[in-house]
Amino acid sequence: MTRGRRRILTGALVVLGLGVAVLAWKLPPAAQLAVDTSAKWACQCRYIDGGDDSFCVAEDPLGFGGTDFRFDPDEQRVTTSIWGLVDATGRYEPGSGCMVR
Amino acid sequence: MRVLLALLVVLWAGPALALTPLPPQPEGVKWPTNEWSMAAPAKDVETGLLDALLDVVFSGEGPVPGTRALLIVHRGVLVTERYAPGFDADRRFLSQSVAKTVLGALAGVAVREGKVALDAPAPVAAWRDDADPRRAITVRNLLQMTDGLDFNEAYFNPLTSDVLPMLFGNQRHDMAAYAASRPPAETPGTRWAYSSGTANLLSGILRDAVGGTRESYLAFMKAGLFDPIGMASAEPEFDASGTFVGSSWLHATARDWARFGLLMLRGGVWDGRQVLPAGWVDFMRTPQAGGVYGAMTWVNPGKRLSTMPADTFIASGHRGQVIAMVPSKDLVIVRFGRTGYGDYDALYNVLGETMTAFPDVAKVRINP
Repeated sequence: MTRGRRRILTGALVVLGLGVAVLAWKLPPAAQLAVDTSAKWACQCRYIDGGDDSFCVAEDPLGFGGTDFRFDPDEQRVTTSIWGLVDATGRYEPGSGCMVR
Repeated sequence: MRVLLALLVVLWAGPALALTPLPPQPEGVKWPTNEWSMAAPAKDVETGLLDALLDVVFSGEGPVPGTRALLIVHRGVLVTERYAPGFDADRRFLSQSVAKTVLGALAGVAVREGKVALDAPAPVAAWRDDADPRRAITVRNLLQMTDGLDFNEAYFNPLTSDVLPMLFGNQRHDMAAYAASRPPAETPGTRWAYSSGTANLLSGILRDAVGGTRESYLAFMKAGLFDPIGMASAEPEFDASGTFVGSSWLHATARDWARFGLLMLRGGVWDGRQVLPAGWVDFMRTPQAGGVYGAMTWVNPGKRLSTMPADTFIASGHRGQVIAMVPSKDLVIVRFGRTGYGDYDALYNVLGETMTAFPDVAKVRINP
């Protein structure tokens, strides 16, 4: 490998590494915010307004296909997750509303 | 010369400052505390136009898709009530920012009860330092959203938004405290800037003023507003600190939202009782600098919403939640749904055109 190619490869690796670092820094909080938002929204829709599961999934303001919704009507809660990496649970508490823990 | 100048000032400012009187409940029409009076539109309503516009509003492929409920109250009577398939009179609808107008009404109750002073410095613990410029912010500034706090209302960039972390993120547990922590950007009272943070800051002040807990706040809301007007389905949401999320989260049936609209149209009077202080609704619907907002309420003096009468005042929420009050027509229109971001103008245009089907109060008085 010539010196020029080696420099280009090194530069590309540095840029890639920086990109991965930025993603690792920014993505988890953004993903957590996304599942928190979806959990709040779905809980409101399902347990306060009375929508059914499929309707409330379709109401998700993020419209992000990778979010998984699990409704537990007995406990009046919904858990949202993205690819199993981050999750959030919204639970309806009478008198308070939907609290995301 | 001075007289001429004064006359010119009056002529110029008069129409902008004058508020259309709020119409009283017509004689013989019962207040809908328990049940709504329901009837077909009166003979002087252009029902052909109204029906055609309602079809447009509910057309899934029309200019404003996503309407789920539309109610019209004319002269205190529920003359139109339509729901999209899957929705009905028992279904609650989320307020989004319509809640801000309810919060403004609640503030009126607190002011009347002496719990909050309109023109005193806002009682915010984080601003107690004499050197803090935010000490100059009054409750009036908060109601009119002229507090000057630096709060980014943008919803689309989680990296710069203040509203997303407040409502959904790591600041959601005490929204008022987060809003109070925002730095000053402008001198209070000099610039209007729409802010959900300001609404929740105001709500936190109300919480403290009525007992400091979620329970005391909920009791205040019920006793001061919901119970007197029969808004039985109202379900407010609170953050973990006990603050009603007055920026965004109040759920109620469409009929109950119409009750709130009628209360506003009647100047806070309900069945002989002054639920809101006299003059409070006028305060809420008086335009501030910029002319689009009063106090926790949108206004239309410059007819920015061109199809709506200039005296229309509006509780408006994200994705097209609307309660529009029109004093000159003795009219309340309630619309809940899910409108696309690009369809807001079309929605307001159609709602404004719907208003044209109803006669002006003044014309009725001249030619009954």
